[in-house]
Formats: sequence, structure tokens, C-alpha cells
Amino acid sequence: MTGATVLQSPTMLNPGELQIDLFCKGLKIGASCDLVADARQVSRTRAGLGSGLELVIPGDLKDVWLNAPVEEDFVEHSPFVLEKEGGAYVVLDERDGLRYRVMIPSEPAWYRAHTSTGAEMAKVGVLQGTYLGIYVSNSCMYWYGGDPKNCRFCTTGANVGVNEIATKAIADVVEVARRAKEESGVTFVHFNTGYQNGRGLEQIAPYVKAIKEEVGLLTGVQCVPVTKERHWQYDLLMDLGADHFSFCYEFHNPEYFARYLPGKEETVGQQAFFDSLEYCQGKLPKGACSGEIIAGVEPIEDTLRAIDYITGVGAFPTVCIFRPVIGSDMEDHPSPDYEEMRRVMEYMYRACRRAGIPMGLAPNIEVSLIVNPDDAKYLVERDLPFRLFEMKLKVLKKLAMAMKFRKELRPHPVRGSLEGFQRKAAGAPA
Amino acid sequence: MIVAREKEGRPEGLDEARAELLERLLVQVEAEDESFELLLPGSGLEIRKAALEDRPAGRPRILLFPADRGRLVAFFYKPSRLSFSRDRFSYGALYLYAAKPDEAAREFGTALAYLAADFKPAAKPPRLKRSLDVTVPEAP
Repeated sequence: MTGATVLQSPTMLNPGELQIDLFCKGLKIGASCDLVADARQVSRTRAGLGSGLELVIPGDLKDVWLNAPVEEDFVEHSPFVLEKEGGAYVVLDERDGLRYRVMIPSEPAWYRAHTSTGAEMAKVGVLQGTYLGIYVSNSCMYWYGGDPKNCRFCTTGANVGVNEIATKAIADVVEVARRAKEESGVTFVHFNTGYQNGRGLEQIAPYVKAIKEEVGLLTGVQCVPVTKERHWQYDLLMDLGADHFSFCYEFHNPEYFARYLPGKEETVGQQAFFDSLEYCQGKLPKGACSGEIIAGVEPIEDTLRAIDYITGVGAFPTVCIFRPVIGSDMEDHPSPDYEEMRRVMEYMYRACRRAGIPMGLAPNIEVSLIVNPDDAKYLVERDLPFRLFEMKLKVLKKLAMAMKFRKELRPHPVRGSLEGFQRKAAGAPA
Repeated sequence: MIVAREKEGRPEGLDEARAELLERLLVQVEAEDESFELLLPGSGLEIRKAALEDRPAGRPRILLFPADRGRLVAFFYKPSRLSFSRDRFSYGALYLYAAKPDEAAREFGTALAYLAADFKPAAKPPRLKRSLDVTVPEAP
């Protein structure tokens, strides 16, 4: 990693504000940059939303990670340009000439290595921020058929066979996770599937078990939710070692949900996301589950209602700033307005604090595709409630490390049985 | 019409039927009003709008490459803007069957119209496949 600290002046954006503005406007790459040598490979492995360049903005509260848009057409109009000056990278704001020091995470050596079966490791999984993201199977069923029902912002289906191996072997995933843990300090692996006709959790189960028993990492699971009569699958996944479940319902306004997520609307409906989120969060510690939403498409008031709902059930909100990803059906949709997004993220931080949702407890998990709730602490005044909440989080972090994470970060047997899961899944009603 | 060629040659791995189909498709490209350039990056044969006095070369491309079941695949994509990125931004593909050359030629006409329109949604080929059942080869 290269870089230095942020140079502050009263007119400058703070790290949280710069993160949001870069998400909204994108980043041009200046001629002085040497990203071939300095940066991670750009990869779209993440519902097509991670098309950008990974950056870290240093700050006094915390460093802020982001995946800055660099490929999309709207970037051409951005005032932000990445330049390399004296061996370090800066983001130059052409509107006022201000410069922000940033760090460019270097590409891990293991990206170009191959697994024992010959798979290129970066085609099995990539770092998204500081965690390992793995699409177990990115052949989302919503993309198939004469009239595809894919989520309109997404390009996952268009990536199959193009930029990534379609289905990952468990042994390959274990090898990649081990290297990522040893060499990149990864503590968390996030598994995702596209829509798999209701079998997504079943597909992910063996990967979760293998990671727990052979590598020792925190694990997250993201699938289209199952119906209520199959909620037992979440219990079995928890027994196999799943620490976190995320539910991407994207839009709180049901009309937007139906319009932009036709596959999810037709197969499970918005209520299934709420039911599953509430079920899983009810069984796990506060803040262990997340509701994932996209800000900048539906009216802002709906996004704020989503944040209230998610924090109200004890989960944490994962808020993506909408990116009109190149190649997606929404490619021509405008990128969101900075002021509106700042308002959303400040609201998110305050809602989490009000609901007592823990932020930043797990070690070394920085998500680059979203504004993390604790990134948004840059957006509020550092008053007494702020300081008290920060102190509370510090204590909780120490307790969580001692009581939970230390064990989870070592390989250990899990109590659940894969065979039991598969037997029950085979006999369960559709 | 074809106004520029990066180099002469044809993609590797073409059997006789697909070689014949490719020749027919290139005659179609030559007959178009739009100016195209042919590239041969090693992964197949690429077509893009050529650079002219008043415009740079187009970013959208068609990559033609052979696949199983006697197919030539016309893969639509935009390359990354970043020199170090291998990402290709997919807009889908058409499958052209050497055993059905007339149908393939009709399909390819819609492909060229889509390329000429810079992949604007209104020009999307009716039989465009967004999700592919083939692995798109990378340039060596």
C-alpha cells in the first residue's frame, strides 16, 4: 500500500464526505498514475457493482475504503482525478484544486497464483475492501429465459464465463481463503449466490462448513431468501458456522422493488426478505444480520424508512450508493446526488447509534462497495453522545474479540451436519 | 465497410463450415455504410467502429470466436478504460450456427446494427443472449 495522511483544511471534504462524493461522481485516472504496478486488478465480482478502483482514504477516526467508479460514462464528467505525485497518490478536485492523499491497496500476490486444480485464484474470489468475496455460483437463474428477470442494476449474469469461473470447487475456495487469510489478513469470507430456484442456502452450506473447519474465518451468507416453511435452513447454516446473513432487498418502496427487481418480485416477493431478516436476526446477536439497500433510485424518504426498519429489527443497514454500472439495464440512469447521499448516510449512522447497533466490532472488516455505518461517523458532530457511543463500541469490541472472534478465527469443528442438511433439504416441501 | 485491419488473418480453430460462414459475414461488414476496423487479438476476430477524422475508434466491440455445436459466437462487449484491467463489460452475445448460414447472416445484420448504435438499448438484437453458456476466450 502506498500513501500518506489526509491534509486537512476547513474547506476540504472529510474522509466520509469524500467517500460519498467519489461514489456519486466517480474518479478519472490521471496520466501520472502507475496502477499496473500499484493497484489491485479491477474486477466486477460482486453483482457487477464492484467495477471500480479500490482506494483507502486515511482519517483520524478510521481509514475509509471505497471502490471508486472508474469505468462508467458519468465518470468523464467527474471533477476528481487520481494522480501520482512524489511516489504517493492524491485525488485532485479540479473544482478548487484541493488535493486529498489516498492509498492504493496493492494487488495480493495470491491473485495471480493458481490452486491445485489449476484455477486462477482471483477468478475464485477477490478482496472487496478487506474481506474475501466469493460468488459460489454466479449463474443467477433470473438471467435465463426469453424474458430475463434479472435485477435491473446488476450485471452478474453477463459476467458468467467472461470474467469469472461460473461455479467454484470447495477445495479451490478453501485454498484461496487460506492464502487470503495468511497473506492479506482476511478475517471474513462472504458467500453469495444468484437466484438458484430456492436452493442457494443448500449450495452454500458445504463451503461454510469447509471454511470453518479447515481455515477458520468469520463467514457471511447472502442468498435470495427462502419461504417461511424453509426457515429451518437458516438454523442449520448457523449450526454449520454461518455468522452473518445479509438480505438484499434493495428498495423499500414496493413499486420500485417490483419494477427494478422483477425476478425477486415474481419468485419470493419483498415480504420474504423481511421475514427472513427478522427470523435470522432474532436468532443471532444484535447487528449480526444486515438488510442491504440501494440509495439514489427510490425517493429518499423510502430509503430513510428502510434504515428505520432495518435498525428497528436489530440488524445493520448496508447502504450502497447506486452505480449505473456499464453494461447493466440501468446504465443510463443518473448517478445519485451527493447532498442527498450525505443526508442518507448521516441518517444511517444516527439510526444505528439510536438503536444501539454495534459498528466495527469484527476485526479487519472494511467493505468497499458501501458506506459502512462506522464510515458515516465522519458525518456527525463529535459531541458527548458521539464520544460515549465510541467508548461503548471500544468496550464491546474487546469483549467480542475475547468471547467470539478469537475462537472463530481458528479452524474448529462445527456442530452441524452437512448430511443432515442435505437429507432434510431433499425431503422438504418445495 | 472495412476501412482498417490491424493485421491479416483469421481466428484459429475454425472448421470449414465456420470459416465459410465467417467469410460471408465479413462480406456483410464490407457492405455496411458504417466504417469498421478489424482486429485480431488472439481470442478471435474483433470488429469495432473505426477511427475517422472526426471521431476516435469506438469502445464497443464484437468478438467473433468459435464454440461448440458448430457455433460462431458474436460476443458484444466494451473493454475496460484502464490499461491494467482485463475486464470486459459484456452486453451479451448472439449464437450463429454454421449449419444455418442464412439465419446466421440475418442475425449478424442485427449485430452490426447494434455495434453501429454503440449498444444503445433500442438497437438490441431481438435474439440477444444476456447470459452465456460458453467461456469467452481471453487474448493470450
